[in-house]
Amino acid sequence: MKSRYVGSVLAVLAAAALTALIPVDSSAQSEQSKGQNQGKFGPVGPEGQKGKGKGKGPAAPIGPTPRMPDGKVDFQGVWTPGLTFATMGQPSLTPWADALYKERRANLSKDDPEGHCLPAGVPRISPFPYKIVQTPTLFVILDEGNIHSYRQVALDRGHPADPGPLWMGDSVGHWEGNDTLVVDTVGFNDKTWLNGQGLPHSEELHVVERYSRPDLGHLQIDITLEDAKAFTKPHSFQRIHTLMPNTDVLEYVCNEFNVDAEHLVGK
Amino acid sequence: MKSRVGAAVAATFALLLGAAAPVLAHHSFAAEYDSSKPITIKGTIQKLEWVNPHAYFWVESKDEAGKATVFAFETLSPNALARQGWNRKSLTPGEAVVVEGYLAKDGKPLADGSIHANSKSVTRADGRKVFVGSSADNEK
Repeated sequence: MKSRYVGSVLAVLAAAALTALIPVDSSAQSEQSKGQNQGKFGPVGPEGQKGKGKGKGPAAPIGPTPRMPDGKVDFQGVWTPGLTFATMGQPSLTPWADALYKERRANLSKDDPEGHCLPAGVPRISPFPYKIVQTPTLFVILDEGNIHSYRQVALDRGHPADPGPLWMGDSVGHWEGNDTLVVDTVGFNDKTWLNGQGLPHSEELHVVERYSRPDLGHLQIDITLEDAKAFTKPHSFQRIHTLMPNTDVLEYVCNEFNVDAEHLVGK
Repeated sequence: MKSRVGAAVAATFALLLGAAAPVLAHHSFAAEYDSSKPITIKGTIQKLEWVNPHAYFWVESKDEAGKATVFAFETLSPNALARQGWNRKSLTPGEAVVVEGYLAKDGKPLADGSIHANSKSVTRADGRKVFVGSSADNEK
């Protein structure tokens, strides 16, 4: 009985949150522009009272995939993962990783590095938006969350001989045709968690992300994780993120007043 | 049974309200706050600090004997609040509010002696709600 209530409540949360989370549909936007506050940070109503909870789902901008002058996909823009930020499935864990994972679950994630304002790592992201900046030789991800960190993906070099250990790893990329950017990241430390639940990895983690943009409003990232110490086999999953037009990433300086750190007691 | 239905309805209502905000904290809610200790505090705003990773506001509440207690409520991060259209003037020192939230697990006050809690919504005197949302919304 209890699980049924919990399930229904969670379903309501998921539906309502998805409705409210992502940008604002076009009708809400036109209503806003007639109203008072288009807003520096995108369409919002006075005191947050408008433009939400109308039962309309999120709407991604509609249009063709943008291209750079050389014909490659233009990934630039502000993207939001919304509530799908944690999407990654469940890798098959080795005994070492499984024991560590269970320990972190038992502690209610009290030692999550992100709770202590340390980088969340790769490919973990926050629910906050991020911005992609792209040139022919460099692909940059500016994270609003993930403690306001950035990722640089070099498109004009390979990995150094012995990178790291690094919080965000060393990322290099290459194009497959004009439509897919393949980002390869190695050189990690073993301090980050793959998600808030505490999925572990080792310094052997190897992340391959395949970025594509099937249309104007959607960014598709197909991710494969390999880590012989933590996973019994490679683990693949897909994330689809939505373009947020007319907005920007905001400031988020995690360590300013992180009183949480001393109150994260776990059980 | 009745109370369970009531709780489910209340939770659903709270979640609908909470869903307006893009959620979340950088930390585990369950490791810091106790979802089994929901509180509703009536009082007046002392101050609001627009700080990261969570904005905080302090509420002074008086019991029937007139004894005052100060609560420090953690709310969402300034970036998440700003996207909802709220800012540091959304609450004014001295105004009357009703805050729904949860107490911290460890029972330890903040350095200034205030009682540490997590806010999920604030209702102003005119009935409007501000700062709707809590890291509790993200708990599984």
